[in-house]
Amino acid sequence: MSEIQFGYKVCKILNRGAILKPGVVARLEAARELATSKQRVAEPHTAQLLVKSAQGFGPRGTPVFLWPRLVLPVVFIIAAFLVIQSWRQVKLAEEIEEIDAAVLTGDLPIDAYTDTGFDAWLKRSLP
Amino acid sequence: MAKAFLAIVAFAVSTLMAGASLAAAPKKQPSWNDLSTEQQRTLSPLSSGWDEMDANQKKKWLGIAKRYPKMKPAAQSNATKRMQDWAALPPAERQAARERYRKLEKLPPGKKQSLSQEWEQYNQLPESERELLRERASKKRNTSRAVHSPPDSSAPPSNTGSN
Repeated sequence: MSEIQFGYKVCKILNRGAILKPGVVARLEAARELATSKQRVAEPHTAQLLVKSAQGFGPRGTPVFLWPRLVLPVVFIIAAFLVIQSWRQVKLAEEIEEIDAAVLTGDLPIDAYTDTGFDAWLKRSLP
Repeated sequence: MAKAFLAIVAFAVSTLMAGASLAAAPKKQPSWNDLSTEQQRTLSPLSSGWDEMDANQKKKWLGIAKRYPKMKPAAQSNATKRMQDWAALPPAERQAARERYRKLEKLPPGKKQSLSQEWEQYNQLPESERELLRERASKKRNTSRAVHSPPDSSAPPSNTGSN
C-alpha cells in the first residue's frame, strides 16, 4: 500500500467518526497543523515558479528561457552575415584576379582602359 | 540543461564566426625570397615592389602567376610587358579601368572584335583632338555626378582595397 492510499484510508476512518483516545486525537491535530502550515508555505512557492516558468524566467528571476529565444536568432543572423560577407570578399577577389588577368593578356593595351578619351571616342563611334 | 545548450550553441557560433573572419582576412603572403623559382620568373617585372605589396595584392598576383603556364605565348608576352605598368597604377585608376573592362565586355561580339581597330583609329587622331575627347568625357562625368549624386557607379567600391 502506498503512502497516499494509506492516507486516504486514515481519512475515511476519521470521517466515519472513529472514537479515538485523547492522546491520539492530540497527535492527529498536531500532525494536521504541521501539514497545513507546510502546505501554506509550499503553495505560493510552487505557484510562483509555475508563473515564472510560463513567463520564461528561471527560479532566480533570470530570463533563462528567454535567452535562447531572443539571443540565438540574433547570434545566428550575425554569424550568417559574417559568413556571407567573407564569401563575397572571396568572390570579389576572384573577380578582380580574373579581370586583371584579362586586361594584362588581352589585345587592348592598358591605356585603352585608362584613357577617358578613348571611352568618349567609343561612345561616338559605337553608339 | 538550458545553460549547456547555450554553451554548445555559443561555442558553435564563435567557431563559425572565427572561421568566417579567418576566411575574410588575407593570410600572410610570401616575401620575394620565399617565392618558387617559377613564380619569381613569371612575376619578375614586380620583383622590386613585391615586398611592399599588401597581402591582397600578392595573393592576386600569385593567382595570375598560377594561370600563366596555361596562357598562349602572345598572352604571356602581353602579361609580362604590362605587369609593371598595371601594378604602378593608383588603385582608383586601376579600379576605373576594371569598370571600363566590364563595360566593354558587355558589347556585342562584333563590336568587341573591332575594339583594337577603334583603338588604332583613336591613336591616329591628333593629340589635340584626343585631349578634347578627354575633356568632354571629364565634363560629362562631372555633370553625371552632379545629377546622380549620391555616388555614381564608376566610383571604386570601398571594399576592393588596393588590389
